[in-house]
Amino acid sequence: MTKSNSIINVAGLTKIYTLGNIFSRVKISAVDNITFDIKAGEILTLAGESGCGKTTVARIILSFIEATNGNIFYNDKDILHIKSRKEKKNFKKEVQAIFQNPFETFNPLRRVEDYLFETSENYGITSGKKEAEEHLESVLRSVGLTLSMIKNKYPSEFSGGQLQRISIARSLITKPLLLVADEPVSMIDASLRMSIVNLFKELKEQYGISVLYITHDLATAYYVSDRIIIMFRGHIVEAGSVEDVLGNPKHPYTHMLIESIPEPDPRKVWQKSVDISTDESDEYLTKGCRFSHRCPHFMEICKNDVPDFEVEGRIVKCNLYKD
Amino acid sequence: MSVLKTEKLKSYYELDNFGTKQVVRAVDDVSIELAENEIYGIAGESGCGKTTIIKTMFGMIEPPLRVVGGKVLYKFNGKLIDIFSLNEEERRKLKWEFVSYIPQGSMSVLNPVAKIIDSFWDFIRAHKTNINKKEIEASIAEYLDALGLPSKILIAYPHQLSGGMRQRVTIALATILKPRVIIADEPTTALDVIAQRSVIQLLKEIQTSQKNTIVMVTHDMAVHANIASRIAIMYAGKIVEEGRVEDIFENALHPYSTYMIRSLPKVGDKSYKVSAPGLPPSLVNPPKGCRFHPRCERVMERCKIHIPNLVNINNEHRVACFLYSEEAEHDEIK
Repeated sequence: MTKSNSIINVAGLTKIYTLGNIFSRVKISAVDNITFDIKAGEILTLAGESGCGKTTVARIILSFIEATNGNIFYNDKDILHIKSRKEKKNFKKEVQAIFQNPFETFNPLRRVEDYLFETSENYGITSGKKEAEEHLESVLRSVGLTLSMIKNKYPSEFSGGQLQRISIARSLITKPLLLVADEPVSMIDASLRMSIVNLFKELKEQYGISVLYITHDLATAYYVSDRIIIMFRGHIVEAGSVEDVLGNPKHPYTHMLIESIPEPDPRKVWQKSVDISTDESDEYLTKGCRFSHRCPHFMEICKNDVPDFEVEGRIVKCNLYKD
Repeated sequence: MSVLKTEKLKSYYELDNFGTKQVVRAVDDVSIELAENEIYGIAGESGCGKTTIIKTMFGMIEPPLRVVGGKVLYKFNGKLIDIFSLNEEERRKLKWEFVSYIPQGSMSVLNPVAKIIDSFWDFIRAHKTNINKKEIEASIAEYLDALGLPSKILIAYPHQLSGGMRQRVTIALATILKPRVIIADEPTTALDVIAQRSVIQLLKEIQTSQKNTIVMVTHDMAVHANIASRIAIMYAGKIVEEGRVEDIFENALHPYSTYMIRSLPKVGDKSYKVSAPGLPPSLVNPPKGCRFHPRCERVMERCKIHIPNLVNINNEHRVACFLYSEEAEHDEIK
């Protein structure tokens, strides 16, 4: 990992939630000491099941929640510890968010164009209405819309797919270097889903924008991304190029995950049965490998902390690859 | 042998929007027939009417939903009976014992303040008379065991179970009276891939052992590919194509279905995928003629005026498109 071409370096990031009442407290590490980087002009997928910590990572990067421990370096500055308002604003300008549900992104009682004009003014991208209109027109065109299509309309007048495009357009106003997209297509209709996914590809290819794509849908992840990180219960279990990790998985958990993706092909139906966890919080509290309860290759050493191993150009957190 | 049939079924939502009447044609003239011992999938986007059709099949009609025309017929004790002609008591008897319903959100089904065993007990007590609590509890544990669910969950509360487990408990509850027809509304949505797989597995196992009929609605084509024997593709309140699962996935005929199938992403496939152009139509004011014509790249003049009929092309493969048959619906110009 060279620092030169990565735009974000996450180092030892940890988030601990305390559950329970004053008599019995349980500390759950939703994100446990993870390290990764996002390179300039790449689409990086953070994948895993619900409760794996992928959204928590996104929220920490976007500074919606505070990390318990660790650093996130952006342009060699630790954004978790910057004090100056100007630097914070600059970071927010260059790193923009896209959320899962576009109907919750926008206030239903306000016209969507107001958000666009406001973003443009607040970040000082444009001054004056005329300049703003020109800028917004070009931003909307890059997502396949025009200003006249959205003029004087409220969020309820759009379909989910259209509104998600507007939400992507809004994030592009500040000319960001990185988009953090948390499940951006899971609420979009199937017939429009690929058009949104293709949009991320286009933004990457035309403008060199990096995307942190957070999803549980491995099929679209394979389609859109360059690299993928598989998370399980707060740990990164496997990370590498999407062809390597999804095409030839090494970690037993990645294996199980990929085997469970339903193939859109009636001739490839599942034959074997699968084990699912009965208690999530037990797995968070497990020492060592958190998958060890369900792992078919469980060994005694898995009860201790498992280091990362480099296997065929990717990182795998599993004792099977010790040598 | 058909077990459930709809005939020209029309269920509309009649809304009163500040004085202006709006009619949402959620299910518009749908005729389908389900055989015994099969899994029938209904696929479509949100707002295409797929949930409304199964709600109507189950007789869950509450305003503003209204059945405007057509019939839902069940083959019950050798006779075809219309579910809407039954009185309250007869309908109650039919429901759950003959036909059961698996809803989408499992949290809203199980009583949050009762243990799982009590939910089961309440459910069985409402349908059976002269029963012994001890025996019933033993049979519940036996049934869960047969489905591969740990019996310790019986003494747990719903919130203590994971989403996947809760959904499987709901399925167990809905099938414990061994109904002949199971109607499932998006049973795997909102679940993770591994939990989703376990739910599909469970449904398949139940169907194999009880030999009943499952009608399953989901927007996820990959789930259909894994479980269904036949699929119907719904678009804007109408069935546009219906056929055996292999025929639909390998030889989809309707332009909308081909878009649906071709745009499916797969692991190991990076080829460029395109979505259907345009937007799903509003069901308040659907386009004239074929509902899909504004988005169709093979549109003809005829498609803009007439509604194509769902016609059998070959071997139970039905499609509603003028590319394959000239036949049009009668009451078309609205």
